[in-house]
Amino acid sequence: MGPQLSWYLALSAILFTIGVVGVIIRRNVIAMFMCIELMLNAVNLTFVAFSSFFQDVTGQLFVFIVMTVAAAEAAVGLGIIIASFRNRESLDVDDASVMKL
Amino acid sequence: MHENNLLSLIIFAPLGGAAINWFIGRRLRNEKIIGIIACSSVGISTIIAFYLAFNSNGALRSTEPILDHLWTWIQVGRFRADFGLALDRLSGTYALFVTFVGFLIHVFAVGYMHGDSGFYRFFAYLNLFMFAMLTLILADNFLLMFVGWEGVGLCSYLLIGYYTDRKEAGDAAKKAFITNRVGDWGFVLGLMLVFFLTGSISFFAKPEHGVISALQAFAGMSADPFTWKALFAGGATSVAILLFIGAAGKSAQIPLYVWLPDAMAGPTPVSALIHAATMVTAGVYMIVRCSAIYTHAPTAMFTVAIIGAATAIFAATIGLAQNDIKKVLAYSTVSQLGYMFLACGVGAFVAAIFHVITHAFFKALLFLGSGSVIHGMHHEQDMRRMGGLRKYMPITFATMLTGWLAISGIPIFAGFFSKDEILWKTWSAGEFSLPSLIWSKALWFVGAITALLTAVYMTRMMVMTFWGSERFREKDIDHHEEGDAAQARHNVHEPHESPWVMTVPLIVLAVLSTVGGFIGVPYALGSLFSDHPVNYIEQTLEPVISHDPVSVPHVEGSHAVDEMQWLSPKPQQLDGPPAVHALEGPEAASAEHAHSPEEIRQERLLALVSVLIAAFGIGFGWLIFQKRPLLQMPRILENKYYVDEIYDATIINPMEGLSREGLWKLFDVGVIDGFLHALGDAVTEGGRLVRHMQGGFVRSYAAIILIGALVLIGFFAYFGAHALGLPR
Amino acid sequence: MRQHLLTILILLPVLGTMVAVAYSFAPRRQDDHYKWIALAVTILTFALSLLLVGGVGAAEFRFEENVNWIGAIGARYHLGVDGISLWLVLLTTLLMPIAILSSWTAIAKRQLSYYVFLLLLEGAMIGVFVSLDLLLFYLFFEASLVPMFFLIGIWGGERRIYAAVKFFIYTSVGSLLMLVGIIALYFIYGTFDYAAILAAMSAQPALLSPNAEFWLFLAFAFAFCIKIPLFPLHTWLPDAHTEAPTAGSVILAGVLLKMGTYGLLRFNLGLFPNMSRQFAWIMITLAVVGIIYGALVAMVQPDVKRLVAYSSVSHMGFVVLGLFSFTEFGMQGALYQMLNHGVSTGALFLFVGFIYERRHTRLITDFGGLATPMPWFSSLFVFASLSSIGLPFLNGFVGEFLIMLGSWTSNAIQHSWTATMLAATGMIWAAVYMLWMLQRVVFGKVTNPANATLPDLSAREIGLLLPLLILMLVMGVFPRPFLDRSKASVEAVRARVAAPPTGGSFAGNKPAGAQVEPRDLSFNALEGGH
Repeated sequence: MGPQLSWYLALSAILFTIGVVGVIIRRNVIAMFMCIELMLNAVNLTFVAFSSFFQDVTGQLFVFIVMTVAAAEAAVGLGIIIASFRNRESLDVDDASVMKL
Repeated sequence: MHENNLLSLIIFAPLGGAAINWFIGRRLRNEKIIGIIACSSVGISTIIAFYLAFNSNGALRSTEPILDHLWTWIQVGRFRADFGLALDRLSGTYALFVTFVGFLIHVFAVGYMHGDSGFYRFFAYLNLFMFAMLTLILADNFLLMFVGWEGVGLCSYLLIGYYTDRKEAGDAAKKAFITNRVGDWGFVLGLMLVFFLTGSISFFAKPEHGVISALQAFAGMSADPFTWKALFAGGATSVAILLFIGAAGKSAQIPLYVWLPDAMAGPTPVSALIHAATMVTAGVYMIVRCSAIYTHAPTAMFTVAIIGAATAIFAATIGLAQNDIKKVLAYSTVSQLGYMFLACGVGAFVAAIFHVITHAFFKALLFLGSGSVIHGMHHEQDMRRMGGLRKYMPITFATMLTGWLAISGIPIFAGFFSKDEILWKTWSAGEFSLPSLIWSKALWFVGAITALLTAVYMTRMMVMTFWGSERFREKDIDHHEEGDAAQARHNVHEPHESPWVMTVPLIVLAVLSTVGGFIGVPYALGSLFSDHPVNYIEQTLEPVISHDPVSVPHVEGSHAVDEMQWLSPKPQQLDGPPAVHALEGPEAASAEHAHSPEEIRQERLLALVSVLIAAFGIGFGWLIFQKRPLLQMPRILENKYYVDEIYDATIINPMEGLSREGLWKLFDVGVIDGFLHALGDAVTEGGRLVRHMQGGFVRSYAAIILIGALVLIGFFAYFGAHALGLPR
Repeated sequence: MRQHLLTILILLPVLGTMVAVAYSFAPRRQDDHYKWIALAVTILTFALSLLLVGGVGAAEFRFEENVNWIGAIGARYHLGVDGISLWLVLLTTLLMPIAILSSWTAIAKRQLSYYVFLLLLEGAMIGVFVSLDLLLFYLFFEASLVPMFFLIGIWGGERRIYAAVKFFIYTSVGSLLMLVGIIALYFIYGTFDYAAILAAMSAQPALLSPNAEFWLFLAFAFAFCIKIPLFPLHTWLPDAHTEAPTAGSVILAGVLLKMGTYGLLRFNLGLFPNMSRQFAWIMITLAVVGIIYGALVAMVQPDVKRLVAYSSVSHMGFVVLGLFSFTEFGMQGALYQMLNHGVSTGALFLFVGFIYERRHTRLITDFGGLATPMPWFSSLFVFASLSSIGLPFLNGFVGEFLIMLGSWTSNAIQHSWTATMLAATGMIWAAVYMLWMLQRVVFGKVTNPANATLPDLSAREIGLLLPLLILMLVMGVFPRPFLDRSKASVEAVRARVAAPPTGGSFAGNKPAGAQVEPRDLSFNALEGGH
């Protein structure tokens, strides 16, 4: 009995949940950022699993799009984080509750 | 009918004069040149008017009008208003005396306004007025007449308010314009109703332009019955009443007369030209011009007669008690205008025009005379500060004497003939426009009483001004508003006679006031002295004036307008036999007026009665005021029956209060904006409530997103996709 | 060039803004030069717009441009002018240089953005009048809001923020409803194109259910009535006018309000004739109430500018009255009155701006006796006021008279005579409030020493007034060139909307068969002859 589709989906759900919980409970913006990436990759895993299951390449296409977006997001997001850190001297998101300094 | 392009020069010469004086006069600063420009431009009009009226096929000799079509002003759909002029017998007669009297007053004004800083402006306005007045007279359609109508109103506004730094002048100007506008409301609506009923607004048919005559169309209709319902039926009676509202505004009839006495705040030549001789008679002109409409509207004619008679006697009583020399003349003018409307109301259109002409002569004379007095007295207008002036101003005195006798109705003077004609026509009025013949006697009685009052107050004015003690040297007879400066002026100068530019027009007008009445000597009187008396004015005007339809169903129930008719405009009946021939030949007109011996006897008797009334009035006035020129008159008369105060209290102040407190502050700001602000506040409040979700904490946002996602997923998991109407 | 004239007219001002912005990067720029750029651009636009006059006369659209814009939804870039929009475009292009000249010395701060906004506004306004695609129309309609919002909000008076926000929200609420209407029309007819919708309507009248027409009429009418503004949706106007800078008031009164009446004429009457007939009595009632109400409230205003603003409510009521009379007189008069109002009220705002610039107050009580120190100002001010009052031979009279004649002969409502009689009192009220204001501002003695030494109008000020003053006279004496050009287009709309003629009356029950339309006696020969 090889790996079933449900295994992949379960793993993906677990990863996604870890990501969600991480975003909500962590206050460090870098950690939150990594959790978001984790969620994206959980979704990627779902795509790939379904793609393989249905023998349809479209899912894998979407994975590439998601990865591209994630890369772009990482670039922009890290930039914002650095800019924010420079101004606030902190990575705690709760310190950034108002938009102005 | 023929075209003559000279006609437009009559109106454009004064316009040119106005333009020159307005643009160049400011720089010229030379009273002589400005005066010459102003007078000569009116002079040109006068000469052309006389030429066109009296040349071989002039307007007064032929039955066809002289036309001058300049351009089509407005043309939308079937509505067409030309800028076209017409000189027929009526407008010709009018144009003659307006240009001539206007010219004299212009000459007079050159002397009167000498040294005034706004000399050029004054004459520009005065010339502009002549342009507007002549446009009014010569217009060949209602709308162009309305242009002149409003134009004279504008010039009146500008000239009453000429002394811009005097508050009362500005107030009077504004009052005049607004009151006139109330009348104009009626004029415009009447005009539109004319168009609605006839499809034309032209007075004359112009076949080559495809224009038919609205008046002829009216003449072809059957007359409205005599009933109050006809006023609202949308037929000829409604037209006539609406037009009369306009006339009442312009010609200062009850209830719109209040502006005219105040208008005396303007310079005296203005009062003479605009508020006595020409503009205020425009209402009479309009009604006579529309006689074809009025003779189809007996109810309207009755209204006109009643209002005219009421105004005549009402203003005369006020005139008794005024102390300002110009105010006396102003109320006298209102009263005389009432006579003219009385004449129109009883169908004596020719008599009305006749009185307009003689009134223009003697009232212009009296006003100019008062101007000369005021000039000689250094701008003193209170008669209580005059007296004994005949020694100092002999020419003014002599000329005003003729004016006094003329307005009082002493024979051979102009006023006698015209006033007597009106009284006689009132006495002998037919049943067409009166509920019963007793009304004609009642109206005659009112007219006769007015004649008596006229003689009394004019005598009072003459006595207070020219006879008695010389009160101008006394320091304070009465409280006087002008204060010390005016006092000082008085004490320095003696009264003096005016220069020749002022006295010559006076003399000319005095001659006219004396002999002017001979153009309209009625047969009854003329036949006393001559075998073939000629009544020139009647002969001239009779052909262009409509008469009562020969047979008019007298209404008492049987011919009452049925309900449908009063609810809607009367369908026109162009196919029936025409009730009236608007343009009959002169022969027909005179044939119609066969002179029965009985009538002649009555007419002579009545003439005698009016002479006696005039003589009695003068004698009575002389007896009382010669001894006690400062006799205190009844308070209520002196205060003009408190009409201005009543208008203020009942119309003007409530209107202003309602607008300010009710409409603006309560409704506009309170209700509408209040509602909007409440709406805005509600949204703001709602926003404030949900604002707490937006704490700014990124993780709480994430949690909310999570919860939202779970709710959505849960919703679909539980209900299935069909909850949104999607296929399963 | 002629076939792209309309695009050029819209883009030229936009190009002007680019030039101005480019110049702002120049090394030795001066703030005073922006107004020269703006003036040159607007004058050029005006000159080009004059080319339109020769080409327009018949009922159909001229100078048409029709290219694909957003192909996916069938939105097209469709422009064209007919007799209705021609004069409004010219009014816009004429008023712009005047507005810019009026700001010459009044605007000192942030000149670049000021003139950029004015120029953008011009482009948008021209676009509104010439677009024949509903989506494009909406785009320009909204685009004109933004620059005006900033003009009021930045360069306005003391309560400018309140006024600007009120103006923006008020008008955008209306226009959003119109957007819904436009989208609904798209779903019914599958196109945004005005001409295509009109054609579809006459080809398949059943496509538009009465219910849908009802709501569509309301959506459009709401947007336009706010813009006009029709009583009781007028309260943004006094605030916006009062707080706006002079040029803003001139444009607002002169052009922006006309977008409302233009929309009513073009879209409400043109697209929904049946509903227009049914709504006529409501619109006429509101118009008549607005005429009287606006005048009465104007009468008691302590602020000159607010007075003129409320007088706009009154005058625009006349326009609506004329439009909904469904007669040639009324609708031609309404179109003419739009132009008159733009010229006269625009001029009045200029006058108010002149004394505001000198005294920094608009309160009537602060003035008095200006005739003594400022004779030119006073004479011309009186002249413009008389035009607003509707003195014959000045422009206001022709429009008002035709409107009243139209409503008098109208059969759109039952009590058309009563309505006209009430509306005609507007003539009286106009005299009351204008003369009373003149009385307290211009005439009398100089009571406030601050007024005694005011300088009279400068050559620039007289020069910028002169075109308007001349127009007042010309439009009053020779209205036919104007009316003749718009005749065919107005008649085309009227033909769609007019009901079978029956005639006006004091009361509703007209006798059956009583044909009381003005008799056609001998004019046909005349019309043929021309």
